[in-house]
Amino acid sequence: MTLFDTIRLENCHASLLAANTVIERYCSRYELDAATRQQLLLILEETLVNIINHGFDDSGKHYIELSIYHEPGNVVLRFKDDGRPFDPARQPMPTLGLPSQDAPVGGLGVYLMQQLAKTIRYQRSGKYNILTLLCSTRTRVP
Amino acid sequence: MPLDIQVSEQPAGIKKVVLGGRLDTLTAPELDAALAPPALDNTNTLVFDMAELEYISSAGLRSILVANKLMKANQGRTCILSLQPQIRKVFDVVRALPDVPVFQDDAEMDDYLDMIQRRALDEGNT
Repeated sequence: MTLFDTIRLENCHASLLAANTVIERYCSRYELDAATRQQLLLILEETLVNIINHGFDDSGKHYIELSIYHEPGNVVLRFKDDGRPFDPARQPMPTLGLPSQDAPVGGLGVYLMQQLAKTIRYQRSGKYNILTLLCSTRTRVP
Repeated sequence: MPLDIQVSEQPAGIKKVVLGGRLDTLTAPELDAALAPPALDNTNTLVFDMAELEYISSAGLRSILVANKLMKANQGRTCILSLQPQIRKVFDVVRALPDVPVFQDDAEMDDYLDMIQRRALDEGNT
């Protein structure tokens, strides 16, 4: 039984489709409930797109390794990339609830990720960012 | 799953945008294109019907925010109709659009729009 799915993704937005498929397949296999699935897809998109949009200093091709697995009570998404060091857990909170004319149109993704993930662990290992996001699930861990 | 966008013009400068499917990084540019100037020039009320929208990310929220800014710049307004619980959760977490009313059904929204129109007429008469 495979408890660990890993996929290597290019740093382009189209990779989101392949990544979504991995999450969907994982959720079906372990019969995770709709709320957990939705939460995982959202954490995935916000994290992956943030790395793709802001992670790299050059415009060359890079790879992001995504893994999904279980820990007791949690589904875990793990991202490994060779972009510039970035710890999303340490980013300042944006100013929220501003009237629309004053509200910035960006910067909500990292905040959403911070709020949706139960825990965010960040580690810099050599030239790699290793970001581990825990998402709690009520579904029994296999 | 792709994004479905149905735009319809209604009387009194109301434009209704019915969204279905996923509003995410990959599909948000389609909504931006559908609402880019001059699409909203003759619109005073922009209604997003989200009853069939199943997923929204920050990229999708950004598109709604941009459209609302375009409306505000022309003294117009934006309303949102029917949020599914998972969509409402995303709006709530980021406290997006505090000045945009959200209605659960057409009747509730129609009452609001009637009130706005009566108020506009009253102001025109005084």
